[in-house]
This record gives sequence, structure tokens and C-alpha cells, in this order.
Amino acid sequence: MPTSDTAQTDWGAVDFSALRDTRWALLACDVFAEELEDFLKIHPHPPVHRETFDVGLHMVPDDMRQNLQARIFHIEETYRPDVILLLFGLCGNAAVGLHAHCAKLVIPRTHECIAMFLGSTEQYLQLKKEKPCLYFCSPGWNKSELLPGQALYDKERKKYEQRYPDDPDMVDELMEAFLEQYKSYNGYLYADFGSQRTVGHMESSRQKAKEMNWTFETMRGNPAYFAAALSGQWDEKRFLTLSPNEKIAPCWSGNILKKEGKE
Amino acid sequence: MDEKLTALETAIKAGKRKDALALTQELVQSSPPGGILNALISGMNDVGKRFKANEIFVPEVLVAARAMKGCLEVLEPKLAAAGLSPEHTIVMGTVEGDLHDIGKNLVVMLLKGANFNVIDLGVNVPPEKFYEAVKEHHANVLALSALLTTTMPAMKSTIEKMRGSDLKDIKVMVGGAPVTQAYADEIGADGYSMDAASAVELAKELVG
Repeated sequence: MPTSDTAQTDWGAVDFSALRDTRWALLACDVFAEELEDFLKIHPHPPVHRETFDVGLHMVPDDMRQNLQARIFHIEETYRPDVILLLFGLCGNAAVGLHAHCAKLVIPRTHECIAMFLGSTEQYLQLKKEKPCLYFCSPGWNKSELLPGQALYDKERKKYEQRYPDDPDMVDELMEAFLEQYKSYNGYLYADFGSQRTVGHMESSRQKAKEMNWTFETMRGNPAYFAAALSGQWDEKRFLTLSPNEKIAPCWSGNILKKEGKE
Repeated sequence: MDEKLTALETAIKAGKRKDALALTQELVQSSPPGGILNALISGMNDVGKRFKANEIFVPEVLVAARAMKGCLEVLEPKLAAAGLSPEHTIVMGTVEGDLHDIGKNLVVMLLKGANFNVIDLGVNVPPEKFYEAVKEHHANVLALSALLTTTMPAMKSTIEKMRGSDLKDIKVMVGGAPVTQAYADEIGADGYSMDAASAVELAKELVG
């Protein structure tokens, strides 16, 4: 079991000194909302500004990119940070092209947020290789209302019933097709950092697994990558750092992200 | 008759399987199969465009695809009888490590609709399996699909496998939500299509 009623996340020994004299801002996916709440409580050099965006933006990467670009420009103009930490990943190419005019940008070199829960991109890729049929889940994902289960099914069904009020056969067929989207999966893999704040999410996710007739596996996440991101331990291997006007580009030869125009 | 063809196209757009099937069964009695096929393709292309514009979502696309599939099953014998049997073979699959097939299935169906002989290898297909299928079926084109940025590199390894073999000249086309023209160029693909409808056009160009 990854959590208990009294547990707090063990962040390990975190060195915050890199951010002592830095005006930094945070733009994060709200899939990390719970973990951020815990971590920023112990942060001696919190961001001058932080904001999160709806995880639902992931459904349309082009829209997500536009939304994030506008937020980056707004953050740098309004709060004048030296650096903006982008706490998300390549996310279906949604991060491609993002840039700032005045601030540096830092982003984890990862495909998706899942690596931040598992401790490294290597762990994430290994997991995908070993258990490709498991659908990843975390406290933030559980809260998102995007995970397959009865609630999402009912919401979709209601949408189609409103669209086809006189055609129940069409509604049934659309719902059959809705479930077909998940046919490649047979279980949830739930990971968290062991905070008492998230206990309810694990149980709620377990219930969703039952509703889908899926297995439910839990694992204790590794907060090292997440803590490194938020404490300014931005080594080149795990993070891409961009100067003003440099743009994020995908890198398919191994390191996931690079500066646009660079090898 | 044109009204019936228009009605068929509308039924496909709306995913009305029973209506589409009934119209197809009626139309094949008296209408040239090529015209019926065009109505089906036109309806499905519209579905693809609305999906790309986020006006409809995966369930609507799947329902329309099922409607078209049923109609194609009725139409195929008529196409064959009219001498419209496939001239070209395409081997297609989702690359190794990737289990997603909705987009791939849509392209497979549209390619069949465009009178290609499609060998669908399914999902999570390793490079060796692609190679064997291309060889066995004397395919003209290899089509690779991926939905995840994590599995896109498997497209590269599949193309490397082909280019390093006796089938090095096979035309390879790639596609899938995160795939771009730049990536296609980087890995040496012969073509990239950004949606299902343009995949058909690309396949025609590659065999042309």
C-alpha cells in the first residue's frame, strides 16, 4: 500500500540552495496539484508566482500549446521572473515551440508526467515496456475526471443522450465505441508519493478499476525527479534549459527534448 | 439515384449504420459500384476532417467507421465483378510497444475503400514482422502508425530494418497523432500523412 492515514511524503535530502537568489516562477500541470501543495510547504525559496493548468488540455495538444504559450508570456511580463519552471513534459508534442522572450525556461526531459512520479524517464520507459496494458493513475489523474470508470461513462452517455434524444440505438452504439477506446488496457497502475493527503484518491481509483473490470496495482512513487525540478537541481541530463527566445523541440535520438535548431 | 448516393454519404457522416447498409444494398442493385464507393469515401473523409477539427471525438469516428465497414462488405464483391480488384498491396500496423489502433484502423478502412489490398498486422508489431509481411505479400507500400512519442522511435528502427534488407526500396509512409513531417524526414520515410484522408492520397502517390 503506498499510503497510510498518517503518512507524509519522504522527500529525501533536498538541496534548495540553487534557488536561494533566483526569482523563479512555476507553470505546472494540475495533475501535480496535491504533490505541489505538500512540497511548497517545505520550500525555503518559493516561486514568485505559480499557476497550474487543467490536465484536460492534454486532450488537444495544439490547444494546450497555445494556452501554455500565452501563459508563459503573461507570467514573464507580469512577474518578471529570471526563470520559469515548466512542470510537464513533451505531452504529445504540446511543448514543442514553447519559448519566452525575457525569462529562461526549464522543462524536464520527459515524455509525460508519469516519469515525475516514478523518479526518472528510464523508469517510465521500463514500466511501459514491462506493463504496456496498465493505465497509469495518480492522485491528480484521479481528480481529473478523465479516467475511465462509471463516472466518465455516465458523463459521456448523458452527452450523447442529449445529442440524440430520439435515437437510443445510436447512443448505445456510441457508448460501445467509447469503451472500445480502452480495449488495449486491462488494469490501473496507481502511484503516489505516500502523503496522507492523497489516500482518498487511491481508493477512488481502486473503485474505477472495479467499474472497468480491470486489475488494480499500486506502487510507491519516487519523488526524486519531482523534488529536483522544484529545488533547482536542473542538470542537463534530466532538464532542458532554454535562454530567452530559444524554442523547445522534440529530440528523437534519446534525450526527448532539445533546443530548436540544435542537434 | 443521386439522391440515394447523397443519402448514403449523409448516413456515413452521421454514423447511421442501418440506414447506410440499407442504402448500399439498394444502390448495388442498379448503381455503378465506383459511385457508391465515392459516396462512402466522401462521407468518411468528412468524419475525419471534423475529428481533426475537434468537432467530434473518437466514439463518433468509430461508429461512422463501423457503418462504412458494413457497406464495404456489401460493395466489395460488386467492385471485384466490375474489374475493380486491388492492384496494389499495403502492409500496415502499429509499431512495436504501441497498442493503439483506432487511427490505424481508420486508415486501413479508407485504404480498402480506395481499392488497396491491405494486410493489417495489428498493434505492437516488431520490425521483423513488418519485414516478413512485406516480403510474403510482395507489398508496394509499408504504412506505420504510432500514437505515442515514446513509441515513435520504433518507426525509425522499422525503417532501418527495411533499408538494411533486400527490401530496401519499399516505400514507407508514417503517421499518427504525434508524428510530424520533420520526423518522417529525419527517419527516412518516403511520406507522412497528417490524417486518415491524406494517408489515402499519399498511398496513391507512392504507388503512382
